[in-house]
Amino acid sequence: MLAASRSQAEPELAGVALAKLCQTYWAPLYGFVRSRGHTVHDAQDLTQSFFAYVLEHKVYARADRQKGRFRSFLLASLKNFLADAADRERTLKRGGAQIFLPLNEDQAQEAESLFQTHSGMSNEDRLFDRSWAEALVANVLERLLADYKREGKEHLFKELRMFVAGGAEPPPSYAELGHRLGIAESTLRSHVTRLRARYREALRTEVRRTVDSEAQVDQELRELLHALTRT
Amino acid sequence: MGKPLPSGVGVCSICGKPLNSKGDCLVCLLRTGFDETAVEPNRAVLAFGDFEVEHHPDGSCWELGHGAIGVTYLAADKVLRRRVALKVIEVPPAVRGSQAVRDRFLREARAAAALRHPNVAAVFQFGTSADAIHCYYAMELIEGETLAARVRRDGPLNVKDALKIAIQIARALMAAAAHDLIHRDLKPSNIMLTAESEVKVIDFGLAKAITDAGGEMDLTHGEFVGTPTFASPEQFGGGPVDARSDIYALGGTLWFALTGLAPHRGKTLEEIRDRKTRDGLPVAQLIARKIPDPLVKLLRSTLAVDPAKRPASARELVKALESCRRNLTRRVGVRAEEAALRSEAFARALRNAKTCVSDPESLGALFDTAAKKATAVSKKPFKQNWAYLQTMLRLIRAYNRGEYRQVSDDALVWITAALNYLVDPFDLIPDNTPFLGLVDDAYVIELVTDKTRRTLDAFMTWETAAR
Repeated sequence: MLAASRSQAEPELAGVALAKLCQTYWAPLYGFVRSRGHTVHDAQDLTQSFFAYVLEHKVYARADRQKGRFRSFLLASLKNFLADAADRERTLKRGGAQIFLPLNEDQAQEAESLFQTHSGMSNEDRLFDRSWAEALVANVLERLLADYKREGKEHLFKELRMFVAGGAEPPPSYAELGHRLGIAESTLRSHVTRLRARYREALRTEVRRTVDSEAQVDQELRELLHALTRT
Repeated sequence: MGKPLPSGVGVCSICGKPLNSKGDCLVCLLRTGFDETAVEPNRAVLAFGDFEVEHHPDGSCWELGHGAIGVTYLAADKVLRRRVALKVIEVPPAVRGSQAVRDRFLREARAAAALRHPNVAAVFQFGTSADAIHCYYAMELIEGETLAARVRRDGPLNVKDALKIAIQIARALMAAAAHDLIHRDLKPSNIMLTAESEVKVIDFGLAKAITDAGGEMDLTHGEFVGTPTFASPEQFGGGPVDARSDIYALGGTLWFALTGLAPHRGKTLEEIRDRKTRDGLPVAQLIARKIPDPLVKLLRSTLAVDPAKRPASARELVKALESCRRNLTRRVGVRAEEAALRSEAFARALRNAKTCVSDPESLGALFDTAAKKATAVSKKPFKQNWAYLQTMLRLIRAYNRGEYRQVSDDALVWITAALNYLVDPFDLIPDNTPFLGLVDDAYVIELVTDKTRRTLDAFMTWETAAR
């Protein structure tokens, strides 16, 4: 179901890809565990051991291919995992579980903040979807920033970011911003168009890693959007 | 661990949805991910009915703006060969087949198309794409900028300019009321200002007609459509929405023009709603900007939570705004004029006028000198001009009273010349001179010019009749 798990010829590489995916979506999983009433430390442990369990037991290989989506698969797996008292017990003892994913303090803190931000939501699945969307776009923006940095255009990215990410302040007019950045309006326009295109590409590539087909990318985006916009 | 972040740092200026803790809009970020082709079925030529979207040189579609519910493109009307602003809205899947929604859109579209007013961007045509996924309508293309952009660029407007804009918006609402049309999304970014500082209200009623799921509430799938900052409290689901909602939104828009801020801001939809209904108005913002009391009072009533306490109609609002404008003029001009008229120079001029009647040239010169001396009492240039003009008019009126009627036609020529001398400089003063930097001055001058012309006309009529 995943590009990562499909890569039979290179199982190790697939493992790495999956580990990376798990790392990206650590925060929504953690948030879900927290929403079930676990303390910060327990939730960290449970999330870590859940990922360890996923990777160790190759749970993804058993996933329903028709379902096709990494997000729903992970959530369903996590629910099962949490429901399994033995697993939880085992985890909390912290004995058996091998930590596959390095958990750094910043990431843990960010995940907790994210959880706190959305903790008012009554529906834990919605909380999960929302956090998932946050993790998804944060990852894409980070990668795009890294790309722009590599090209020595970090400043440009930061100036134009609002044309992709929105914000409280309405974006300035092309003429105004062009004047400020000292570039022609037409050049600025194409910079914005390119940034939007690159962001779109990166986002779709990232989503593509978690779904089964290109057609499902739109479906997945639509679902996430729906999760964000319904009350 | 993990210090909680605020639930958001505001509302997205583009789609009106709450921002996340980093100040980013997740909705915009996800929307951008849709393949262009998904939104624009034909990348080469994006066409709706008679309209074809224009392209930038890089091939991208020429967007004039995009909001929560649709995109506005620069487009060409292939039949009439003119450029239009084409708003394309994706119909929410839930209401795509709904006859009720279609009827409502048609009703609103017809009303909007019937609405012809100098302060409303005309709607030329509307329609639905063949696949029923998109609705579109073509509007008059307005060259200019939005009020939001103007305030962002230049800061808050002075009272005179803000009132001038508000009055035009209110007139647009008055015209709309005649067609039973409510805007429902009036806000600074829906007010276009042309190069001539004319106001054109865009997006009348239509956008909401499509996205509202057929009900009375301004909600789609329980979600607010558009920007909640300027919406009336009842638009948040609390009651029926009528023309008074637009009046409330106009109040918020005027407030924004005067202060650069919306009266009620918040990080989330709920916060904005609560502030609107529970918190008082931050009148200190108006006081800090030295907004005259009558206008503060009017803004208070316009932004009343209870629709019954707002001006009952756009007509009433226009009257109230115009009254504020008149007060403003009186307040600024009268003192200088009175000072000039009380002056010794004025009295002497009147006395001397009688002795000079046989010499039209010296009469004109006398008037001019007298008025100049009289107005020297004020140091501010615009007040001098105002007082000069008024003094001159008083002198002429005294002349009109009959004592000098034996003066030849030349006197009239001289007086006319003196008045023209006064009128022209006013007409020629460019808006960006420091002279106009004083709040409300420009408006005073505008009125003076107008009044001068009318007085001159009356004088000439009188003079002609007398002869």
